[in-house]
Amino acid sequence: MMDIIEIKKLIPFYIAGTLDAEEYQEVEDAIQNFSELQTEVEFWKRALKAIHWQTLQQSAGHLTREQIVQSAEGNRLQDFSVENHLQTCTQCREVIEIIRSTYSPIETKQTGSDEKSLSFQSSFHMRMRYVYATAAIFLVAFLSILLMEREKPETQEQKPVYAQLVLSYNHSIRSATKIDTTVLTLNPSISGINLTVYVPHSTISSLRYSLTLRSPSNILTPIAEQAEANRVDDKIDYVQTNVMKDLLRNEDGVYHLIVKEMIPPSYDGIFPETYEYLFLIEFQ
Amino acid sequence: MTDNELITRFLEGDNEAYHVIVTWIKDVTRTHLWKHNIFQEDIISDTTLKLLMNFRNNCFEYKSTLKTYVQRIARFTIIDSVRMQQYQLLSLEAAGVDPPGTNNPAEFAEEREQEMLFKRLLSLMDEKCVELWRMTLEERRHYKDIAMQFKVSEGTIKSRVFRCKEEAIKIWNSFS
Repeated sequence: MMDIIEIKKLIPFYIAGTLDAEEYQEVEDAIQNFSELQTEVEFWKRALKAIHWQTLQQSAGHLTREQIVQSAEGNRLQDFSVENHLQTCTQCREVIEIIRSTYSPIETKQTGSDEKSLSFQSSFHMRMRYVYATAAIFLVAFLSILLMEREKPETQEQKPVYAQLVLSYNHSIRSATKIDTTVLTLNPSISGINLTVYVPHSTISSLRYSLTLRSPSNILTPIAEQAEANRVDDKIDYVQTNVMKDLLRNEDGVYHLIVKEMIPPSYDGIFPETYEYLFLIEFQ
Repeated sequence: MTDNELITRFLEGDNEAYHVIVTWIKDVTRTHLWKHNIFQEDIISDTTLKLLMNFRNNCFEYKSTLKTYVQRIARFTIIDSVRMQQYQLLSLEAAGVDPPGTNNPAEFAEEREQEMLFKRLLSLMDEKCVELWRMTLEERRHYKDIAMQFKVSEGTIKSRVFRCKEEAIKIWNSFS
């Protein structure tokens, strides 16, 4: 006759129905005689259900955790059947979106072999943002010179001429923050500013932004109430609008552009992100 | 602190090491996961438990930074949690308005909760244990057959299955 520990060891196999007749009878008799074994039986019945559920999940072809994370990181999965599965499986797509939302906007895509270069990649991205900002300044200066050299005949109707201003988000921390100052020079022929503002990509689709300008004398002027964001990639969106020169009141100095998320009503309880950009205007 | 020091101190229960690791987990759960009925405290709790077991079993092989490893485990935990939510929704829909087998809604709700907790327990267990249980319960393989596959004695397989259950009970008790 087996001791109670040996009986307990056989209970999972008893539940699975794989014991031979003699062992099965011995276990069944023990369960009848020892009430503590009922707890064991209940445990293993739950284990059976849970294992069965897990097996069903896997046999449904749902993505593994690794595949979910890879997909969320934007790594293109080479397995055609996985891509095919995502076409029809809303459950897996939902999981991917949730995992994707756990990544910060500037988080580098990580692969197993690139883990050690993470700090290098972060600093590289930071340097590239400064490069982009510098390039933006040169672009603005070039366009301003180009516009100044174009002289239209007096008899022709003057079309509005806009200076281009591109404001990039180059800070690594989300939420209200500021970027380095960008300088914009406006000559009398300029009608206004064509403004392009880069913001971190939001996981909320169809997001719109309000844009407000604060002048050097602290006057707040709404520029756009519901500007629609355009997506560049998984990290960056941009918003475009025109700012007429009249709104600037010929004030030289540092302007603050406040860009605020307009959260759709269905996302009740979410606090909107606010970004602040600084740029300098000099009137000629 | 190096990764190795952090793990050692974490296993010793050092507060500072624990705080560092929990901060990394919070970085992953900082977004609006509550919208999906996933609570930060649950993810932190389950992730730290998994990390404890993994570190004890030397599962971290230093192929990535410790931070990346910790955050990956946290994301896996979130995936398990979401999958359980999805399953719960589907099974409730399948059960319909009147749950079968009982006239007591409290019993039904409690049974569902126990099921969900057990699935959560499964996600926290050592994968080798889960695999062993799958062979035993789902594939319904005799312990002799499993022993032959692993080239160990029948007694070893029975003991392993039983020890996995003992570990599972410890995790279950930690839920309360």
